[in-house]
Amino acid sequence: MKREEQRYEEWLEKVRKNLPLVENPEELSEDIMKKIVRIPRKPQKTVNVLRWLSAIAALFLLGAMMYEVLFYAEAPPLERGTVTLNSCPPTRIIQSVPLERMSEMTVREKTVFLFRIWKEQREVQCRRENLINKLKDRNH
Amino acid sequence: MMNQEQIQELVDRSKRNDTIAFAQLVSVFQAMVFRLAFRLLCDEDEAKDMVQDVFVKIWISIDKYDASCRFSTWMYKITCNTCYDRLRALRRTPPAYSSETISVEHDIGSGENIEEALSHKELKDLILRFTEELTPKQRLVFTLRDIEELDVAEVVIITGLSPEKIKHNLYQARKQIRNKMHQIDPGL
Repeated sequence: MKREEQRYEEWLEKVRKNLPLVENPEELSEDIMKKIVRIPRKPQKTVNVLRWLSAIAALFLLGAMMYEVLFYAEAPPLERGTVTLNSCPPTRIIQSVPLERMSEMTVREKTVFLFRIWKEQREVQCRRENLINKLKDRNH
Repeated sequence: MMNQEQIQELVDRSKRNDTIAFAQLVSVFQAMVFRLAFRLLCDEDEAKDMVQDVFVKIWISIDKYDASCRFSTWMYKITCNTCYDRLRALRRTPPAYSSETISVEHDIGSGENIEEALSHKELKDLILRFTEELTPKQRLVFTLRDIEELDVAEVVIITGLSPEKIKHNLYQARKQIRNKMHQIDPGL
């Protein structure tokens, strides 16, 4: 056992002492530098600005989502009389805009227009839900 | 060898895209990276490729070096990660060479390089004779602890392994090397 241990130590010592050396260090350094010169490195400041912008955009989206979830879900209850079922389905609103006007609208205008329709629909849906809940409460 | 302040100065200049400063870092540390890569991969060409890859990685990510550890430790970490990936890839697709065929396939070269080439070949045979069957992780831990003689804390930083895992892998590696020694020369 002691002999084995001694042999292991001898082998290890030989490996440690026998240092592998680069044959032609200058050539290797040159190759490395040639590669490095070809690599464009983004300045850290640009990377940081991009990171900050991404973070702000992400926060903004998160905030918008939270606003949607929290505030629309808790719309104030309305009286029965104020709610009109199927008051104005989106297709009807869309049809209310003349076709020529639609084709003239920019993407941004269309987005705003569709967002308005979606928002109105959402409000109507909230009112309906409140009304149904109220009716349920009264029946019980 | 440079002191920490000089190295840090070169690092700071390299962060500002100073290629001359980086070339100095390359000349100072390439021998160290080659030594570790050779000891891990036991192949001169592979080790040279690793040296190039490591320095390219260092150049790309030098901004991330924050001087919380020594620059050499950070460099060891990148070298180990690069070589570890290569070891795993070679394990999946075994290379054309093996310890039996090294002497035939090894290109000794001519003139002044003969001595050096023989020394590399001898070292390759010497290491692979008993460590060929180690897993990449065992080889990595064994090389860092027993050959490079780094302390456990540094190996923890370099490998990202816990001290217990390092201890376990080192124990397994040593045991396997001793078994191999016993298999090859049972009379001893």
